[in-house]
Amino acid sequence: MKPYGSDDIGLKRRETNAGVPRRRAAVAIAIFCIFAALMNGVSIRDSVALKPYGTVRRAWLFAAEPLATIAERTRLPWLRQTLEQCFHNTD
Amino acid sequence: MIFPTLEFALFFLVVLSSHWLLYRFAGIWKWLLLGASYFFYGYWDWRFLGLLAASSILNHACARSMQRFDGARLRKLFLVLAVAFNLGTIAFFKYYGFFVEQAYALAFRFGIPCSLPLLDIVLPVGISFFTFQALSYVIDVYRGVMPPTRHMLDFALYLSFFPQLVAGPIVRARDLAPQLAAFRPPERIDLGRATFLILGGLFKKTVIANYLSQTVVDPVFAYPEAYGAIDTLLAVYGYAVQIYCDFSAYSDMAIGFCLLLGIHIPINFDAPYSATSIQDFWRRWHISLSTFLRDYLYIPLGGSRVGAAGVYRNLMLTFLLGGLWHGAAWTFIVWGALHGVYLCIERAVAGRPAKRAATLTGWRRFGRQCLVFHLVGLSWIFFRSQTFAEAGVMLRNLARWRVTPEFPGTTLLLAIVAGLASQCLDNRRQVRGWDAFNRLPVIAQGLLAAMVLVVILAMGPRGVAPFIYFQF
Repeated sequence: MKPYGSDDIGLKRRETNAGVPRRRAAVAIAIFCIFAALMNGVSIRDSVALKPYGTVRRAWLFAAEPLATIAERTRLPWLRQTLEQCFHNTD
Repeated sequence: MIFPTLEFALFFLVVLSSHWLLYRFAGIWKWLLLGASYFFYGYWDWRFLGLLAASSILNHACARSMQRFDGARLRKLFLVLAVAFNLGTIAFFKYYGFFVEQAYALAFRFGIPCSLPLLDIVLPVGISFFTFQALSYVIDVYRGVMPPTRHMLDFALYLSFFPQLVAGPIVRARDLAPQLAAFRPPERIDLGRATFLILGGLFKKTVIANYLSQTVVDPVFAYPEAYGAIDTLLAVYGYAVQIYCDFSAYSDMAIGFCLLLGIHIPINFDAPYSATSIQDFWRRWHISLSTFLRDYLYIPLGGSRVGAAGVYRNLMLTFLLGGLWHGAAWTFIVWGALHGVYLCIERAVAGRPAKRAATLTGWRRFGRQCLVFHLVGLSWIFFRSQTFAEAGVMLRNLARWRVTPEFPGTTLLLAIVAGLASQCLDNRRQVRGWDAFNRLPVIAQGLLAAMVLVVILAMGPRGVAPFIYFQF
């Protein structure tokens, strides 16, 4: 008896032969995460700020106050600018 | 916690890294995955963790007892106990309110006093899925198809394994439990297939399903009286595509996440809207449920090995219960009944419809696909409607051709066509794409996947609605 989709047995066979070595897969996933985080920077902040999904938003708001103080006191314009942009999105 | 969110991405990254760091230490590894799965489930409502744990303990105890005792009557007793517990749980949480309402309605009609307590019961997410998985385990152990797992931990991990816990696929114990009990890491990870499944699923859910839901399906089904035939047709087509994109997206992403963990679970969809008969449709739609109903309900009832009347009875019973599985409402039962009737008519007219339809080619094949799509679409009206009155208005609307359409037909048709075209991601249809991705340099793989993710997130509307099948 073939319990599932007709081609599934083919997929099981493929499982053992196809793909990339584990370490290579781990490197690819790490690169993906870095690029995704860089390219989605604004989107991630937006999603944290705008989607009412409890924990992460609460954590962000919890961190926001000390970060705001840093933003006010810092002499590094790029850091101030980045933090201000984050707060803008949070608001 | 739902898949297309930042929370899940962070959660999965932690689990994935810990999994590959700790898999050599079987004991710690199993507790890690169990802890992650319970955290994933408890993120919605921690109160139901007890239900999941109780289900694990009782089902495993019954399965072990079936193996320990030789007497046929005693084995049957433990099977009945486990089945009663599973069906009782699902009946209480999912159907109690429905049955009480029906009892009150019936009592009122016949003037009989009725004093059943009305309880406000919260439906635990994914109860239908993990209960069916538990049922498949105890029945398979009883039938001798598989031995019970050696340790309770192995079974608890199987039952709560997070990628498919809340919305399937309903993975049989014999397919998943051995992989978790003695994890043998594959030498190679099918990164190409996993990437296609996860990003394809994300596209189907966040772009197509969400767009169709927000633009046309929800408004029309909320106030059907306000719309004419074209808008209603768009909403029905839209819902057919939305539910496919929504549900298959969850299954695809679950399979993709499992692949990254080095675990194989079976496919759940195989381009269902290219089916050329209703029987063919059910071989392609929610395959894990249809095969579950076939193996644990239809065949034990006698299947096709009884007289013609018996086959029709078995088909109708299977699909009525299949409809009821989706939810405690008469609209779901009518949806199931419609599919049962379709299958009975097909069998009466064509004998073995799937076999005959497979030989069709060209326009005749396309015509059959359109017919099946429309029959399935008609049944979705009952599935999506809250009441019969609403479904009735939707059906009457199909004759109101003089009402001016309100929705942007071209854009919606484009989204519907894109949703139908996304079926090309199912099963092995993109095997060349998977292999091509696997051959790319590692930086290109990471960069390409990240770019696709950015495009998908940019195209999708803000926020992600929960998956439709969470409510089942």
